[in-house]
Amino acid sequence: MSPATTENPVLRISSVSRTYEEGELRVHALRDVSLEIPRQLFTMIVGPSGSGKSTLLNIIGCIDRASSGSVVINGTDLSSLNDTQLTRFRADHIGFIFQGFNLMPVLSVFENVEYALVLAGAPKRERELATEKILRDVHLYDQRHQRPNQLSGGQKQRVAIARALVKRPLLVLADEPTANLDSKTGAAIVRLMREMQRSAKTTFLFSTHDPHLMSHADEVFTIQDGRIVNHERRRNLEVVA
Amino acid sequence: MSIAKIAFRNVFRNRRRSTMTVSTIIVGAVSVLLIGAMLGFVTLDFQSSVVRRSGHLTIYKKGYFEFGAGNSSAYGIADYQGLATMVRDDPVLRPMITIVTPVQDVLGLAGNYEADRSKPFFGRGIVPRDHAQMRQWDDFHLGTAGSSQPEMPDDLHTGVVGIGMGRILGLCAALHIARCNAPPRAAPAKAAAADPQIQQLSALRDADRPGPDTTNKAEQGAHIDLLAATAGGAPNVVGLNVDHAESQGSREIDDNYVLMHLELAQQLAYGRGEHKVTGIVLQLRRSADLQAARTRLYEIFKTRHLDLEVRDFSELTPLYKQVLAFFAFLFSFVAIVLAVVVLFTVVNTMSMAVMERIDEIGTARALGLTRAKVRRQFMLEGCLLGVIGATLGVVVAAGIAWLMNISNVSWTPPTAAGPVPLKLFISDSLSIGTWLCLVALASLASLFPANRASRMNVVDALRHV
Repeated sequence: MSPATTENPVLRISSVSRTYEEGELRVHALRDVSLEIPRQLFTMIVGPSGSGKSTLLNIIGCIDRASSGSVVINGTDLSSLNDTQLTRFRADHIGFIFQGFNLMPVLSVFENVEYALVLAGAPKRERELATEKILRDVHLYDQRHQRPNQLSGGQKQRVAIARALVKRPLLVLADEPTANLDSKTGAAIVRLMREMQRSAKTTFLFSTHDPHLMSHADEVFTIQDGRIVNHERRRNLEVVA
Repeated sequence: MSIAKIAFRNVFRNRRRSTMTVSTIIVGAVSVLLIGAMLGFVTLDFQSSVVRRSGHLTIYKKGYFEFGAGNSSAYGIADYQGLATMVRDDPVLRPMITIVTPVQDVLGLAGNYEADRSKPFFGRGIVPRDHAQMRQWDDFHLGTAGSSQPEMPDDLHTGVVGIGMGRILGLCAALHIARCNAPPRAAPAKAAAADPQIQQLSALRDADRPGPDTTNKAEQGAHIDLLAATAGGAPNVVGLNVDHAESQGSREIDDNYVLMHLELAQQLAYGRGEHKVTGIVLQLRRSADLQAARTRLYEIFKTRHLDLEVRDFSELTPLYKQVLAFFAFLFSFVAIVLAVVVLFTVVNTMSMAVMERIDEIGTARALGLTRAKVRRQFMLEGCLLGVIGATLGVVVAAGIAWLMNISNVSWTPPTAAGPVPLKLFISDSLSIGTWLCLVALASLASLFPANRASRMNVVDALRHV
């Protein structure tokens, strides 16, 4: 790791394991995973299905807890937070982009994006300005009054990207965000995420099992059977910054 | 954008299911309100009927209520006119009172000498003018004041009997009693032996003092003789021309009732002795003043050292309390059944909503919605179903009540002599109470599904398809 990453990483994971118990059976989803992710990088976690990518993202996203080890985001040890504090932490610092878009069907495009700011406790005027701006950035301002069921898959994922970024989070977690899209739309979405990540100067953590997308990443972790088996830095930090 | 806005939209998301749930709540609200309104009307009409007949409060000599039935003359109130004037002129009571009138109850034997019929009777002596005024009481604006039956004439020797009494005494034809069969003729030997005392006393009465002119009874209509023991224990008899027979709404009263002029009742009960009364009836302008009037009367009795007691109409008419208790039970039973139906319907609807939106719950939780807010959102949705259903229910019930009221539907209450217009008045308290209960019920019903939603594991919820 470079000195810059070790000095002030946005995320530091140390010896994290996650074990699920199903009756007598113990499933080791993650085994002794350690990694550090520097700020403002577009990082990919690649690996086959069932390798532990989603489990790792869930733990980083504060929606699951590690069986052992520690997860520190921006200096906060997640194990010290209770459920309500973790929820608050998510609302303030973590953006999510899901494989299935996960938009609220009863809310318009504008409201779906604004919802993230509502949960973060932003004032109304601030919410409206930020939402309008990001919808223009993802080229969906004209569709702001439409409901998700009136949008294409690519448009839905752009709404999800806007929702994840509108609150300017420390970390955006995207769990196979292109899996439900055709390859052309998927590539466009990755390009958009890359652009948005650069303009927002935030950190993206992107899981995929598609090796073709790796060319977009600054850094790639390969995970297999719950272990990090490879780590590749593709751009140096000065260039990224 | 608030949780309420999201909840409101979610309520209308599955329109068919929400419509069914809201419809169930509407049916529940309408049923409770209409049954409540009808029972309320019947209760008020019953109370009005009792108050028109017996007033709100009756002043008795202490002990009469418990023991007076055996010897009402022994519990007579002397100087009743002075007492009535004192009550009438009391500055506290005056604004509350419409009528203060004396009554004399008397028990004895009624006989129709012409038909050789006799029957124990329960009689009440009244001031006809006062009782005619009492019949106009309509504090609840039910439109049922007055009576379809004629008033008792203000004549000393003229009175009214219950329909059953008229029938038993063989006065069907004379009193033009509808659906009244003439009694079977008794054996001549027995008939001749029937109540020789009445015959003898009638003869004595005719010789002793002027009574009603009975020389041409066929033209006058019905005539009966009333025999009773005076306060001194001596037998006494008076003659009574029966103006008409009227239904008392209860067979046992119908078969025994004789209404007569107060003075005639006093003649029968006290003979030539001092004329007293059994009670002094007070009819109030408003039933709501009953407790205040009672309290004031006791203050007066205490101040003036009067050995009197006060009984209200519900104590004097036990059936009133029984009917009220029955109605309360009936209303509670119906309300509970409907509440259970509404409860299960809302639980089912909200459980389905939670099941269908597991992934949304997971997403919202991941984005930062707290467990408490998830719970609040689903409870709010249940509450909104309750608000919509209950509000529409109140409106629909008001509409049905209005239609009923302009349709002039009439019915015969269990205690009434004839049909009265059925009016459905949905009171504000009934409407508000029903509305609040249904909204609370719908909110409560959504508590279980809402708790379930709030406790969901975020990862499991997001994984749910």
